[in-house]
Parts: sequence; C-alpha cells; structure tokens
Amino acid sequence: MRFERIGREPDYSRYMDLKEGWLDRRIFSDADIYEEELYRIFARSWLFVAHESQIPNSGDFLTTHMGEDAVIVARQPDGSIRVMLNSCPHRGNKVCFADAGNTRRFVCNYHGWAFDTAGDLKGMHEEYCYDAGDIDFKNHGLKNVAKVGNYKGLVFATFNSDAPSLEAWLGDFRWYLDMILDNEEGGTEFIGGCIKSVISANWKFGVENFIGDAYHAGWTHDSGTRSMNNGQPFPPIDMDNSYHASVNGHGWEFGTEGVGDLFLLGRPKVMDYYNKIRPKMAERLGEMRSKIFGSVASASIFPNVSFLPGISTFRQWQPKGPMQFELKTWVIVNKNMPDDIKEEVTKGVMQTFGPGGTFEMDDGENWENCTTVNRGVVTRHERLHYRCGIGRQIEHDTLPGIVYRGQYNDANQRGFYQRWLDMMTHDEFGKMPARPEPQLGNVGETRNLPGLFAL
Amino acid sequence: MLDRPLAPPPVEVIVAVTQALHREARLLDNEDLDGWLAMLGKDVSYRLELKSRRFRADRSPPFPLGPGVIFNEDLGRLKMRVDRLKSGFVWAEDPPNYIRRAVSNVEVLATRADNEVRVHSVLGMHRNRIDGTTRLLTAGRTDLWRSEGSAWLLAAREIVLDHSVLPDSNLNAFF
Amino acid sequence: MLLGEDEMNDNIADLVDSRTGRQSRSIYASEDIYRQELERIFGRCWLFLVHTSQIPKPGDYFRTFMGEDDVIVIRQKDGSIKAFLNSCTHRGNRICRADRGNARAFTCNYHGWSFSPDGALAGVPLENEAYFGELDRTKFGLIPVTKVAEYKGLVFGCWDANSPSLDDYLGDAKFFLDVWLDAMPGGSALLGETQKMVLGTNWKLPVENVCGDGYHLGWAHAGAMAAVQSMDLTGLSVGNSGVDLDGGLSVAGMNGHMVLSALDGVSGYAFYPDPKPILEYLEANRQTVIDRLGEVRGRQVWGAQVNITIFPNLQLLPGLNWFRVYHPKGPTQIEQWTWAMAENDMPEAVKAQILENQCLTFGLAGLFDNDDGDNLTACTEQSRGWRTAQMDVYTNMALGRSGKREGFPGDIASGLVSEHNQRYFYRRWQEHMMAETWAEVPTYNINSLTDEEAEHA
Ligand code: FES
Ligand code: FES
Ligand SMILES: [Fe+2]
Ligand SMILES: [Fe+2]
Repeated sequence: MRFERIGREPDYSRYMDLKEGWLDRRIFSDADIYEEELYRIFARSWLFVAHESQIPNSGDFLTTHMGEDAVIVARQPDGSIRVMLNSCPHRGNKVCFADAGNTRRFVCNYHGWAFDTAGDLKGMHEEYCYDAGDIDFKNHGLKNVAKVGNYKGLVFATFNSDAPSLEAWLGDFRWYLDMILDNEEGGTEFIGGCIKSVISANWKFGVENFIGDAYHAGWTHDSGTRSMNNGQPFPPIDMDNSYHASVNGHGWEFGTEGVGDLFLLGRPKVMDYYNKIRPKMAERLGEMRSKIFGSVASASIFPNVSFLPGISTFRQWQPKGPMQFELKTWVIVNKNMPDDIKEEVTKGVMQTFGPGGTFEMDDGENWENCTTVNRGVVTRHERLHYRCGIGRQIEHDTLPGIVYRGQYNDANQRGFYQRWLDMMTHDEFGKMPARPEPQLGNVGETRNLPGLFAL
Repeated sequence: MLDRPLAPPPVEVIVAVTQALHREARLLDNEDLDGWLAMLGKDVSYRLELKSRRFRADRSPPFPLGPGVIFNEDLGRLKMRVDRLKSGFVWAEDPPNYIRRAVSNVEVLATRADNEVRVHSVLGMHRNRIDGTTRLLTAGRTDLWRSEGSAWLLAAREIVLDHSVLPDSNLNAFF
Repeated sequence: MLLGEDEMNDNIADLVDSRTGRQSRSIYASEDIYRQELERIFGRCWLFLVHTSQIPKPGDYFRTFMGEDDVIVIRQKDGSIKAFLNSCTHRGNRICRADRGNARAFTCNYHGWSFSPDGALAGVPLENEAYFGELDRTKFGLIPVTKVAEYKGLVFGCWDANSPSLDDYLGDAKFFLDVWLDAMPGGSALLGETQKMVLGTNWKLPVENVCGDGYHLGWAHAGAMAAVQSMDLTGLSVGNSGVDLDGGLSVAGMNGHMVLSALDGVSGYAFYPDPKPILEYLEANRQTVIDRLGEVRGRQVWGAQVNITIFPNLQLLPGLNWFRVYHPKGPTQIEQWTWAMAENDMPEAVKAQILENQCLTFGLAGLFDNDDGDNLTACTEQSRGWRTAQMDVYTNMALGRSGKREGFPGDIASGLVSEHNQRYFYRRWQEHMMAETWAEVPTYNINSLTDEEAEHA
C-alpha cells in the first residue's frame, strides 16, 4: 500500500469534507501542515495579545507569542499600545526575558542595544564603534507588527498589513462577544496572573473543544460534575432552546436557561450577583442576550482564544509544534464588581478550570491521546466523524451568524475548520468568503439599541 | 484475635535505621559494592516485580506463575551481580557513570520482633550516562531491617518502580 | 526535505550492498528513510501482535503497536481474534489506555462512545438528543487491522490486503518455529508481564544483533558469561578468544527470516545458573520430540541455543527462552518488549525457573541484556554526525561461504560467528524499501526441503 505524503501537493481540501462532516487526522500531527499553519493562519490572522487591563500605565509591558513568534506588547506614553517582535535586530537575541513589567527601555543582554517602549533603537553600549553611516537608527528598531486593534478591552495584533479591520474580522461575532465584554457598565479586566501549562496535543483540539463541544462535558467531566452537584450527573440539555452560532470561524455554543455555567462555577454569591444585575443587562444587551449569559456555554475566537462566559476562564492555546501547545489562562471579571465577588469568581475558576480544577484535569489527557495516537502511519489516514447535527441549521431572527439548533452539535467545529481551510487555501486574504455574509451592519452600536434583537 | 497497636520504635532506632539507609545510598554511589553487601543479612531477599497498567475494574486473573521480576535476588545472586560488575568486562560502566541516590520519606515502624523494623522509603536515582544522557528513576521501597550486634542489616526489600517503560538502556544499579 | 519517489529508490539501491556486505549509516538515523520504512515495511509486512496464551478468554485484550500505530487485539466470543486501531472514530482519542485486561466494552474517555469487543460502535451517549438518531453507527466502528492470522499460537496482523498469506510469509522459517511451537503436543505460551524498555537505537540494530551476531557474545557479554555460565557448550569463549565453526549454523534466505542455531541440543540453558531441572525435562522428552520433528531438529536443535528472527521486528530464542518485539518510535528510538517463553508440557517448576532465569539474564536488569543497550544506542548516535552519516558500516565477515546443509532448509553458513544472516536481513530490507507494492517483493525459500527430505529429517 502506498500512502501519499504530505508536503508534495498541499491541496488542503483533501483533508476534510465539511458538507459530509469528516476530517482527515493528519492535520493534527503533520509537521508540514503545521509549518503552513504558522504562515497562513498565525502570520495572517488577528491574534489576541493582551487585555488592556494588564498594561494600564505608560511603560507597562508584557511578553507573549503570536504563533511561535515572540512579541512584546507595550503601553506608550500617549496611551496607545504597540506590539513588536521580541528579537534584537543585531544578532536576534531575545530582548525582553520578563513576563511583564514597567520600563522605559528594553536593553539587549548580548551587546547592549537599547530600545524604547515603541521599539525604536535609542543607543547602544560602546556606540563609538560604529562609524557614521554604519547604522541607521530608524531602521534598526524592534520590528513592529502591521496592525494593533482593541475590541472592548481585548487587544489584538496582526502581522498582515492586508488584514481587514479588527471590527470586520470579528464581524457579527461582536454581538456575542459583548455578552462577556460588555454586560455591565465599566467593561472587564483580567485579575491575578496568567497560569501556563504545556500540553502535548495539537492546538486545534483545545480550540474545537471550546468552540462547540458541549457533548463531551457530560462524559469527560462526569466525576467533576458529580462532585460539584451532590452526586448528580450533568443536567439534561434542552435541545430546542440551545444553539451553535458560528461567524468566520469564531463560535459560541450556548443554552438560554441563564444559569448552567454560573451554577458549575460553584459560587452562589456570584450567581446572586448576576441575578441582581440581569435586568440592567437586559437593558444593555437586550432580552435574548441577558438570557444567554450564564447558561451552559463555551466559545472560541478564531484562531486560538477560548473562554467560558459565566465561568470566567479566558484562555489562549499557543502552538508549540504540531504536537504541543502552551495553554495560558486568565480570570476575566467585570471591572465594577465588588472586590469580594471578584474574589469569589477567582476561587470558582481555580476550583473548576485551574490546572488542578475539577473539570480542567479531565481534558488534557483526551487531547493528548487524540494527538499522539493519530500519528500512526495507518491511523492518520482514517477519517474522523464531525457530522453531529449536520441537518439542523436554522434561520433565527435574533441570533446572527450561522446558527444551528441544539447545543450537542459539531456545527461550530465545522465552521472553525471551514475557516481554517479558507485560510490555508486562499493566498489573497480579501478573496476569502465571509461565513456568513454580515447581517448586522454596525453591530458596534447594538448596545445602544436595546431591544433590537430582543426575543 | 485482637492486635494491639505497636508502640513506635525508640528514637535511637529510628535515627540508626535512617542513618543506615543514607549510608547504604552513599556506599552504592561510591561503588563500594563489598561495603554494601556487608550491610545485607544472610537471608536477604531483594525483589522488584513487573507490573502492567490495568483498568481499576479489570477482571482478568493474575498469572499463575506470577508477573515476572526485574530483581528476585538472594545474597548469592546479588553477589553474582556484584561479581559481574567487578569483572572489568562491563563496558557500559566504564568509564563510570555519574550516579546519585536521594533517600526520602523514611518511615520506621515497629514489628512484633524486637530486633526488626519495617521501613518505608522513597529512592530517587539520577544517572548521568554518556554525554548529556541523564535519567531520573524513582522507586518506592518497603524494607525489613534487623539489628545484629551493633549493626542494622537489610533483611528484605520490596521495590516498586514508577515507570511502565524502563527509560534507560540498562539497570546496572541497585535501588 | 522529502525526496521524490525516484530519488528515494535510487538512493536505497545505493544504501545497502548485500553482496559485499556494506550498509550506509544513514539507514540508522535518517528521518526520510524511517518514514518510508513505516509505510513499506511496517505498513506492509505481517507483524507479531500477541501470543494466544496472552488472551485466553473472550473479552481478553492486549494493547500493542504495529509500527507506530497503536492497536488493541481482542479475543472474540467465538474464540477468534480481531485487532483494531486503538483510536476512536469520533475525534481519534485513544480508546484503551490499559496494557491488557478483560473487558466487555471499550468506552472512550472524551465523549463516551463505546465499542464492543468486535469493534462495533455499540453506544453513543445522547444518540437521540444530540444526533437525532441520524448517526449511522455501522459506519463508525473501530478500524480493523486488514488481516489477522495465527500460526500455532503466534498471532500476526498485516495492513496490506495484497500481502501473501501468513503461511507463505513465514515460509521455511516455520521449520525452525516448530522447534518451539510444535515440539511437544501441548504447544507454547508466553509468561508474565511485558518487560518494556526504551532504547535510543534504530530498530534494525537490535534485529541484526540477534539475527546473526554471535560475534559480540564473547566480548560484549564477557562480564556476564564470567559470572554465570554453567557449561561451555556454545563454542564461544569469554573475551572472544576462540570460536567453533562446527557447533552451529547461520541460516538465512527464507523470505527475510533468519536463524542462528547451535546443534548440541542443550546449550540454550548454558546461561542458567542451575540448568539441572531443565536438562532433565529435555532428557525425558527427547524421544517424543524426535518422533514429532525428526532426528535433526529433535536431537540437535531442540534445547540448543536458537535465535529465530521473523522479519521485520520479532525475535525469539527457544532454549534461552526469551521472546521479543521492537516497536519503532522514530528513527533513533525503540520500545523493546520482552517475555519469557515456555512449553505447556513443562512441569510448573520448570516454567517458573524459566521465567525466573529469563528475567535474570535477559530481563530489564538482565545480566546479559544490560550489556547490549549502550552498544546499540551508540551505534545509532554515531551514525548521526555530519561526517559519520556519510560513512558505511560492514557486514562482510565470511563472505561467500554458504550453501546447502543436509537436513536443513535455507542458505547456510557454518558457525554462530559469521555475518551471513545480517547480509540477508539488509537484503530483505532493501527489497521491501524499493518495492512499490507487494507484487514487486521477491519470495524465496532457498534450498527448501523436498517432501522426501523433510520426511527423512
Ligand atoms: S473522541 Fe471518542 S467519543 Fe469523542
Ligand atoms: S567492534 Fe563491532 S561495532 Fe565496534
Ligand atoms: Fe472540557
Ligand atoms: Fe547481546
């Protein structure tokens, strides 16, 4: 038997048929495909780099990665935010080794080139050794990314100068994002630090799990659910009033019962708090969204950010080779919450989705096995089943995006891989189809139009 | 018959046995194999059984002849292993590897016999083989130590190795 | 950089010259060659899965690998044996994380799909609620291994639908396999848990070591031989100071399988500190075995040190009684799995002694085994340098000194110290690596015994 090898003719459409609902396993471990993902997806997408609350003051910075490229995110004296490669233009050394801090200068350890927080080269050790004309200071700063954008506190950056605006990239998904970013006056912030863990799995498994995989919860997390729920299993899902919604590869799966995730957080005070502000939330976001918030739900922003609205864990899956990612997690809260509620949220998140959390502990093992076992030369050629709910697409007069009925569904996963395929196959960014065509003109305004999308 | 709980051994015994464990580790690290053999009782039993990863609810019966072993040694066989290591022909140990043992979690418990104690401990063994090849092996041990005259001698040791696949190309070393 | 198909084949023609006994060192470390091996050798050959004694009852299962593919081998209700990829058809998760056991179903950790021992998708949580009853379960059973077949207790699997039958694949190697599998009426068994270790070696090096390398024994294992050898019957002496060419055979030319055999009928037990009970067993049953297998095998081979290699990665040593497969884990790493092997007619005490002695000599802390790992690892590492990768190594001992031997099949060289078998091993490797399909792989059983000879033997 003769298996064709990857990398000879990268026709990525061979690896999936989303109308039929299958994927080829090679996309989860093949080194050539991964390398191509770094170029075509990570070097071209808008990528989350920080929450603005992490760097409130001039000179505040943090270091992170865009794909596998190390970057510095720094607040400027004028309040703007810049993102630049964390690599010295002289010999390429890493310039900043700290996770975060406040500084006026980044000085490279190797030969002492010094950069300001905008990345401009300001001087160096033994500057006299360069003759006039040897060095053009303007062109030897830290390379800035092409664009930086901010959506209600979330800072994104892209290496791609042809990328559409961040607003267009998020598109109608902003309607959903506002449920976590704007459900209360004052917006959100990250509290506490970042927890990092390394998992030997392909990055897409984390994203697809959060984008739509409610199905695993009742089985994988059975022990955790029972321990938090007096020995009772995961409550039944109302398949008529729960949904998958997908926009340009972003996705949110959710119920409309309003309490499931808040319940799983296991902190009654937090539940009370949200019940108290819910009428106000309805004024801000409309009836529908105030009902969705707090339900059993999970979401991902293409390509590699996920969160659980209601449970308040916010996370990013940073790729580290085809078979490994670094998971970074934060706790996101509303800025105007009283301190004791913020603390309750933090406790709840640690108890459930911290590295030792009752739910978190179950997932990594599955993803690792999904990745490693699929490397076998025979195994990798077998297809995987992504057909759940394939016939349940609906038009909904309130919910934007590609909407499917029933929370147990692979619809958002299909949407994610469709976008993956779009990016892997389209050389020109502008030629990629919108999925779906935007429905909501200026969704940025929805907050000011209470009731427009009410039930 | 009701077992009365045993009183803990006297502090001097605990100290002496703990010291013996540390001394044993040092002798092995220093390749003083004869010194180590001298710390063993004549009837010593030194065992490490094979195991497999099985589901908690698994119903398959044990093997009639047992699972097999990595070590099932008496004094004679340990001497044989020491003879091999000292033969000058064990090329994998020449030049000597850098080995360091750390003994911890020592618990000394009384037994029915006055001159014997049961001892639980954990052994971490660092082995730096050629160049950068370094392995860390860990094992749990349950021992029986017996005082004979002024010395404490090892009478029995059950070792549990914490690796389902041995991560090294040999085990020319004692736990 | 991946080589194109043609370049790869040209390249492979160059890498090995089995006429003069030369191999390029790149075959021990190159990533490209390794990938090709996974397809053309492990994806094509019959691979050992399990011994029937390891899964005696319905529902008994054993987890193993075919190349790098994780598989579960399961005894069915009707007593037959099936094997499947150990991978869920939903998201690909590993279904079974235990080494072995008995189960009525395999339930995936991720979403709870469960598969029955015959591989069928038997249960899907929320099948009606989530899939609205529309999931065609018959299409999502576990992926079966294309072919599974048994030869006298040894179960093999094969991915290639066009492969020869297991019987034809084994060819004349069965003549030697029977010395263990069929010597006594009760058949054979493997004993104890799997002895697993990771070695930083290319998978071909341990295979060539055991398939033909009697030469290293007196030197590499000198320390162990000095410490335990109970009789001097192998014709090999400590420190490689002497060799006996009459005492044994190197047999090859059987579809890539090879045998080393002493001819004294007892030397398999030369490394047992106390061989007496086993020698008594051999004595007591010698006539039975002669009646079953004939003079040559019954008197000379049964009980002697015999190394059998079934291409590509199975080796068994009746006599010394260890049985081993090598699972490749990349070009420069393997997992080595070992068991003790016994005949079912042996008294319990003899079996127990075999298990004990196999663990002592070739177990994880085996007196002999512990000498080999570092040599194999170093041969691999020393093939990875920029300069060393361009160099060759040689298996050119005793070239052109083989032929037919009365009573035995195969192309045979005298003695246990020769590199005759290794040359055939690399020749087979090359034949597979250059062939696009099974049809292009030659079949040969050199000097096959005629029916009459077989009868006479
Ligand atoms: S991956 Fe096995 S049930 Fe989903
Ligand atoms: S003498 Fe054989 S590898 Fe060196
Ligand atoms: Fe989960
Ligand atoms: Fe050997």
